[in-house]
Amino acid sequence: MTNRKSNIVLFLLPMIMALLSPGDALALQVHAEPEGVYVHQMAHLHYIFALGYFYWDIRRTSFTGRGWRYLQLFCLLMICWNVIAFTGHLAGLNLDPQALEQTDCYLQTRLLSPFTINKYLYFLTKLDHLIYVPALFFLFLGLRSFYRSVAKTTGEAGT
Amino acid sequence: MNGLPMLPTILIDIVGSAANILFSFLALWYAFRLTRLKPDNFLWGYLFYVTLAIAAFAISRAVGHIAKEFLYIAGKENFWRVIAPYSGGFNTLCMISVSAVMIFYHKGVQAYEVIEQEAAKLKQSKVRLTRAAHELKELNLNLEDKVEARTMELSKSEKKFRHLFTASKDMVFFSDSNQAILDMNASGSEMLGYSRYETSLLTLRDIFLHEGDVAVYAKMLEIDGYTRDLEAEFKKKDGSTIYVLISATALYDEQGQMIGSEGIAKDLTRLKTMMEQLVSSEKMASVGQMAAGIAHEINTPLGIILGYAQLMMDDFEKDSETYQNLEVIERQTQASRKIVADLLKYSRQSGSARESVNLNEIIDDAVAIIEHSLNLSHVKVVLMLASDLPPIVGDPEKLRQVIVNLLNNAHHAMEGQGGGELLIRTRCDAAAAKVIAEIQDSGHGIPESIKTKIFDPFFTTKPVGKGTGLGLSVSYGIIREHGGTIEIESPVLGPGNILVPGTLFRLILPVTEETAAIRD
Repeated sequence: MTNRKSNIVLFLLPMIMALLSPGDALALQVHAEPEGVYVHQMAHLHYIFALGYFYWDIRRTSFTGRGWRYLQLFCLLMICWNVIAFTGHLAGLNLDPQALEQTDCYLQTRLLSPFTINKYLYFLTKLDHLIYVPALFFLFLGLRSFYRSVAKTTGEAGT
Repeated sequence: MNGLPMLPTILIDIVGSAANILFSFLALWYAFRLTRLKPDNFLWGYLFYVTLAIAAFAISRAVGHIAKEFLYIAGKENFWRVIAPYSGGFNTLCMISVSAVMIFYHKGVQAYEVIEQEAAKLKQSKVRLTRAAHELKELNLNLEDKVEARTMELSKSEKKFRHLFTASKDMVFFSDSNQAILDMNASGSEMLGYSRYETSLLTLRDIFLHEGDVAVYAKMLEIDGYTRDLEAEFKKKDGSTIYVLISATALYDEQGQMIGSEGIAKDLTRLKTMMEQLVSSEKMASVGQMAAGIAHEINTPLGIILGYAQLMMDDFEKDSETYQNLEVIERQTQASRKIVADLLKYSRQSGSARESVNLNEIIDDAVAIIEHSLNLSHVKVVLMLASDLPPIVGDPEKLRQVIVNLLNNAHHAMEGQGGGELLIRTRCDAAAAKVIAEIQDSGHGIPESIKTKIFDPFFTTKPVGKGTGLGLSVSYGIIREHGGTIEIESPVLGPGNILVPGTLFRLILPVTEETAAIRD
């Protein structure tokens, strides 16, 4: 028996068995409230993994040139941002809502003392754009560099 | 109240979100232009989709953040709480999409690398093919040039050899291993008297007169591969023969087997005749010298014998036996003196008169002398004498003797067969300044084997006592003395190039300026 046939049998067997001896069917799973946060956090981890894989692959393929270096920087910064964002989300979850006080308006919101590590982390991770924006800036530089080098070889003027 | 103001984080969030939109869209713009520049390039296509996903993620996040900040600023927290799950969900979805697209990079690049490698191989193959095609084209062009040049050389060579073949005055022939003639030039066909078509049906055995010569020719080619200066006789269509000198080379195929021969045959008939005439002439001259010496030596004692015999005859009675014996001595001595005189004439030792002579008159005189005996032998005389024949310088007596000799010979030739026709013609070859007289009989002709001997002194075919064998040799001597020649044809080439039996003597005598001077 070939591998393909074995795979088909292994795939179909549980289905056939489930059809032959059905138990209590729970057709729809209930998604409780924290699921969204978990999914989002897992997405961050997934994103970190993908960026790390992408970074490693760029180095593995030994593509040379400024564009690829910018792309690697983008990956590293985005990994940092993901870590920050992941930490920020955790800090936000652990933050007592009473720790934030809004006096007259939203813009005057303050993080109240006493300051804990979680509060500092919450505050610092709120500044994640300081990493995220440079990361996208390097992505832009990388793509522009690719474009210019290709345009140069094809004779089209770069912008 | 102690606390950290959150205003910086709010402002950075708003400005940063706007910057995110800006840079992600700029990156997407360049990625898009890259795909326009290189639509077939996988890598740029892939980066476009990565950038698109990042831009989507950036927009979803930035728009959400900006919306949240402004709704909070505006005091619409409740509204934000309604849309926040959608914004967050969409944001998560975009993040997962970006991650998924990035993960596929590895496989994509692998596929891209494989494709690139194959493309590189194809490109190299194409380059090699292009180079090979170019080389092939150049080779082809060179080949065409070479073929053209070679063809021209061959054409020139062929033309040259074709001209040599066709224009050669000698016979050029090709034969196969069965000695069949494959090709022969026009000169060869003409030499043999055949048409071009007829020669193509001949074999060497048909044209060689002697079977043995063909065998010798074939054997020499087989052993040596060539034959040089092989003397042979060829048989012409009309039955006559020509003497040829053959040089030939054997032809071989790729396996070294003899497949035929190519040969050149030079007609030496004229040369051979001339050589024979030269030899004969030399022989005549030496015989003449000898005859002259003998004649001189014999003439004196013969004169003394005749003188004494005549003196003694005076001493005896005419009826006496001694007188009659002396008469026999006198007659025979005079006969001997005539022979001696003929010998002297032959050797040109006798004196000659030199005067203007009309050959027609000489012929008329000679015919008149022997016409009676010709009539008795039923020989019809036909005279075709040219009326405008110029006179020549010579001894009329000696020339008459020549004509009489030739007429007598003709008479004797036809006598045995009970008659015939004697044709006598004269004409003038003004261009060559020659007077020509032809005496043609319809007799049995002269065999080929004795043609070269008939002018030899004392050569005769008549029975003993009937002739001295000096007639033609004396005639030869006289004509030579007059600066002329005697030619002989037997059988005679008649009208329409047909050979008729008989013999023709042709006397060719010069018309010199001296003739004109004497005539004037």
